[in-house]
Amino acid sequence: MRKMLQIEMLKLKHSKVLWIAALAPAFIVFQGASNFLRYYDLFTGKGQNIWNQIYTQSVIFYSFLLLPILITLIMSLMGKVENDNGGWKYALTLPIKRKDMYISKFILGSCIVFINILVFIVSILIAGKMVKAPDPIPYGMIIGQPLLSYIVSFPIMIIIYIISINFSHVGVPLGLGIGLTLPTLLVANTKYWIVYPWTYPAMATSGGGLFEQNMLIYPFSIILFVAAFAIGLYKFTTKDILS
Amino acid sequence: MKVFLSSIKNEFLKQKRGFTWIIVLLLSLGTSFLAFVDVYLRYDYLTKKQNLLNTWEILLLENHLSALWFITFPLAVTTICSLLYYVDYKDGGLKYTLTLPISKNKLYFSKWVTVVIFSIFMIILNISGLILAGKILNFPDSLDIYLFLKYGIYQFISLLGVISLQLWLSSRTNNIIVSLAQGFVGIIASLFLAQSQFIAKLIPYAHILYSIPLKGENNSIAIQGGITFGLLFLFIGMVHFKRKDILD
Repeated sequence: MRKMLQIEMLKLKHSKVLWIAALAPAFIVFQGASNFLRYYDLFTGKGQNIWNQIYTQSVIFYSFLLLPILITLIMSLMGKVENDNGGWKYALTLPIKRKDMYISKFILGSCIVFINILVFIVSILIAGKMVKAPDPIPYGMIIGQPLLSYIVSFPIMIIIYIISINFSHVGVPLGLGIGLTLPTLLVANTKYWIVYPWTYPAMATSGGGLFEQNMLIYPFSIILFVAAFAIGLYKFTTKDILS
Repeated sequence: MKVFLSSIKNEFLKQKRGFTWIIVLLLSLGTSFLAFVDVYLRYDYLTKKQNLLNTWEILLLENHLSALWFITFPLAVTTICSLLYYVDYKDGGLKYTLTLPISKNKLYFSKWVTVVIFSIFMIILNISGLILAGKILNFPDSLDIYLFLKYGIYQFISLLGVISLQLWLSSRTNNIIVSLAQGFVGIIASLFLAQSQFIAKLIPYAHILYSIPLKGENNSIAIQGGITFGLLFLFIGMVHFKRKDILD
């Protein structure tokens, strides 16, 4: 299994995906911080916590839009490497278990998304230091909430991953992922958000204060993830690869 | 001229089996559907809150902002630009296209015209969807066709910058994911950076925010920015494409 992971990492070595994963959250935090600086008086006039404001400004757009879109891009890339060059035929003639390939690709994809979350957290801390926000730093919120939204973003990851493996055109998982990301703001306002996994990362960070904390997402996301993972694994190990 | 027109037809043929038509239809009609559902559910709240605007303007505002058309439209254009190059890459690269008796400049320009035509389709579909939604909801105010005409034209001009910029960025790399990511991150980051009008003039992705034809909106940013950046990046893209050595 460790060898599989190394092989998968080698396949991605020349791809620019890590740059995308790393730089994108920094951009969002930069815009959140510059937004905060523009409206400095409005945000700090009532004596609110500066850390809260910087975090809230950044996390709204990050959890609603950027995180699902980046997950879509990264997971589509996982399937694209093999799909593009007729690679499934060659990869599956090797003496490896299909289960190992499926699991190791998913682990690598989810690790890259985790790097994304870490970069987001670090960017917020750096932005706060640059704006000279006073201590105490609310570590619980800045570190805790993004990590929670990582946990509830697993359903999105597994759904896009399964679609990208099963369809040979890279546009299918990309289009589905992005198309399902766009209505999240509207769906999150209704009471049907619980059946729509794309709203889960936003709900986990309580949308920067827009929504209340709801404990339902954790069991829902775990059940959804385990079910989808098992179904995907079963389909992958039994499917006939023709292209 | 005939070769130029046939190369535009060629571009459309290449997209026939692909996703561009699905994107054009789904995203534009989907957004007007979302705006329809939104106004249908929140009709009383919205008319009370925006008592200065008539109902058609409220529908337009909801389409542009709440249904996130101002993000969806540049996103769709980014995807179409990337797909245009992806189809070439998948079928063996630009080698075959470049054997045709057409100059590289005209080839690049024909791709640009293709994206422009797709975006015009999207605007027309979206506005038709909105008008249909308004008719179904039986709005009390009479239909002001000039409002939607202005909306369409402003949007189109403001998006020329994004079209040219994304076409150039997509021509630089073979990897569709990289060009898509450049577009997406650019759109999402610049839409907020552009809250000050001064910075918004410099960012092509933000011009669409200023294309709503209501009172108090500074539409000149949309028009000037769109034309300036549209021509600028078209020129840069053509020069770059002409110099590029197509090896694969």
